[in-house]
Amino acid sequence: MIFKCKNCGGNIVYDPDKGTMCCPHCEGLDTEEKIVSSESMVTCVSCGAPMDSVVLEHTSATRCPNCGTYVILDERVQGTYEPDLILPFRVSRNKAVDALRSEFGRRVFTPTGFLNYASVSKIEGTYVPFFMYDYDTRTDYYGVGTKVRSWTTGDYEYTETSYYDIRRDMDAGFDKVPVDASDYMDDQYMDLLEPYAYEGLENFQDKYMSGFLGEKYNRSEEELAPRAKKKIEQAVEALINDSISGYTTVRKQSMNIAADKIGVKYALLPVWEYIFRYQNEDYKFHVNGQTGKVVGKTPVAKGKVVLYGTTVFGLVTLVGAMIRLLLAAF
Amino acid sequence: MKTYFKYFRIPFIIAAVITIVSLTAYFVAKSTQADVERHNTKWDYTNTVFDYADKMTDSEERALSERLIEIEDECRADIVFMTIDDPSNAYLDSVKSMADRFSEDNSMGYDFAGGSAIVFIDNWSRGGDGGVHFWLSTTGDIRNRISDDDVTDIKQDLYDLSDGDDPYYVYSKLAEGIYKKGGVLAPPYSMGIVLIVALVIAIIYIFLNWRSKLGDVTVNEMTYLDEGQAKFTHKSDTFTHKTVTKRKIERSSGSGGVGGGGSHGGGGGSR
Repeated sequence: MIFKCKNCGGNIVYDPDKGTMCCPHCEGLDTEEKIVSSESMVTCVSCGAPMDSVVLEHTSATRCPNCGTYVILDERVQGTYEPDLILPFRVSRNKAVDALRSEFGRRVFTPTGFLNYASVSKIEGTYVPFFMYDYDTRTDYYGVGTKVRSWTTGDYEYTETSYYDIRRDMDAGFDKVPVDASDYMDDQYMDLLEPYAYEGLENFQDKYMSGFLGEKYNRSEEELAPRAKKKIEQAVEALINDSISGYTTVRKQSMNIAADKIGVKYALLPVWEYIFRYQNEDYKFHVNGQTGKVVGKTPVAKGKVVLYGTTVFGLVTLVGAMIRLLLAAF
Repeated sequence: MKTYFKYFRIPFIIAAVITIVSLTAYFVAKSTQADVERHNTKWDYTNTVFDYADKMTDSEERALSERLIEIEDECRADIVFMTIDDPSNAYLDSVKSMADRFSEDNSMGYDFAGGSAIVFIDNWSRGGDGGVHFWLSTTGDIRNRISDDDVTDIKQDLYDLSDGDDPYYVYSKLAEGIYKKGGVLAPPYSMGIVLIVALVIAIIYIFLNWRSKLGDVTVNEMTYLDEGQAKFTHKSDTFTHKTVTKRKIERSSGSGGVGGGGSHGGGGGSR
C-alpha cells in the first residue's frame, strides 16, 4: 500500500514534527488516501517498478528505488504480522542530527567536526519489530549477611562478626519488557536505546509507517521470551538487593524466581539509523525515534588525547604545586 | 583550538586564581621570614658537619654542609651533624648526653645562645651491647616544629645504615627530613607526589574519555515494574550468632629507640 495526497497525488508521509500526515509536495495536512496494492509485493504500487533489490525477507516498509515512493507491504503488516501497537516517530530527521551533534560534542576525544567531515552512507528512519512481554514473578530469596565491628583494648584488637539470615519473598509484575525481534538490528544497540515512553504507544495504524522503513518480526515471541525473562530476572535480583542494607557483606545462598508470562504484544518502535563513513571506516549510530537518545561508537582523535591528557596533567601539576606553596606559606 | 579553550576555560581560570593567590601568599610569607635575622654570635653557624669517623668524602661533607646551612635558615635553628668513632661513649645514653651537651657547651642557638638548635651524633663504634648508637637532639623553639614523634619518623633510615652503605645519602635524607618537618616555609609534601598524582589523574581522565562506549544504560530495575513497586510478602533479617576474634597488636619499637626529656627533645636508637 501507499498513501497518496488527495490534493496533488504525491506520496504523503507521516511528519514527526507536526504529528500528522503531511504531503511534502503541496504541504497538505491529513489529505491522505490509502492505495492498496493488487499486484505482487515486489512491484511498486506507484510506478510499477520492480523492488526486488529493496524488499528483503523481513521488509515490511521500504522506498521504491525508482520513484522514491514509500511503500508498505500489505501482507507484512496484516494477519499474523499485524502489530498490536506502534510508537510513532516523535524525532524528525533534523532533530536526530541535532541529537547526534550534541552527543558528539559531549564526547571529548571525538575528532572536531566529525559530522562535517564524515560522509553519510545511510540515514533512515525504521520501525523495528519488538515483542513486549508482561510477566508476573514470585521470588524467594535466602542470604547470609554479616555485620563487623572492631575495637581495641590494651594490646589486643577485637573483631566481632554478627551473622544474620536474610529472607525475602517478593511478588513483582513487569509490564511491556521490550525485546527486539530483528536479526538485522544489534541487540546491544537496541537494549541501550531503551527506555521508550510508553504513553505514546497507539494501536497499530499503517499510516504511521509511510515515510519510513520497517521490518516484520524475524523470530517468534516464543523464541525471544528467554531474553525477556533474563532481563526480568536481572531486575528482580536488583530489587531484592535494593531491599538489603546495613550489612558489611551479603552472601546469596539461594534465589528462586518463578516467572509467569501473562501477555505479549507485538509492537513497532521508531529508530533512526545512521552510518557515517570517516577515514575509510563505517561508524553506526542509532537514535531513539521517540526520545532522541543516541547509541554508537565515535572515532578517537589521538592528537586530542595527547593534547587534552597533557593539559590535564599540566593543570593538576600546577594546582598541586601552588597548593603546596600555599600550605607552606601558612 | 577554539573547542580546546572552551572546554578548559573553567579549569584554566581556577588554576590561574589558585596560582595568583598561592604565589602572593608565599612571597608575602617569605618576605616576612626574611626579616628574621640570626643574632647569636657565639657559635659559627657555618660549622655544620664534623665527620670525625671519616665516613664521607670531602666533597660529600661540603655538599652536606652547604645544604645544612640552607636548612638552618629555613628552620631557624643551628644544626650540627657529627660522626664519631668513640668506644668510651658507645652507649645510647652516652651519645644522647653528648648531643644534648654539645649545643649547651658551644652556645648554639639560632635566635640566641642556648636557643633553637639540632645536634645529631652518630657513634660508629660498636659498644658492649654490639650496637652502633645515634642521637638527634633538639633544643629551643625548633622543638615546637619538630616533635619527638617527628624525630622518630625522620630517623628511620638510620637503623639500616651499615658499613657498606652510603652514609652521605642517609645523612642527606635525614637533613631533608629535618627541613620537611621543621622548615618555616617547608612544603608539606614533595613535588614527586604532585607529579605522581597528576599522572594518575591524567591517566584516569584519558581512560574515562577514551573508552569508546556505545551509550549509557538508562533503564534500571524499576523501569518496567508494574505499578512502580514490588510487593514483599515476607521480609526478615534474623540474627543467628556471632563470633569474636582477637589479635595482638604488634607495636614497632625500632632497635632500642628512646625519647628525649627535659630542655632537650629528640630521639635516637641503635643498629
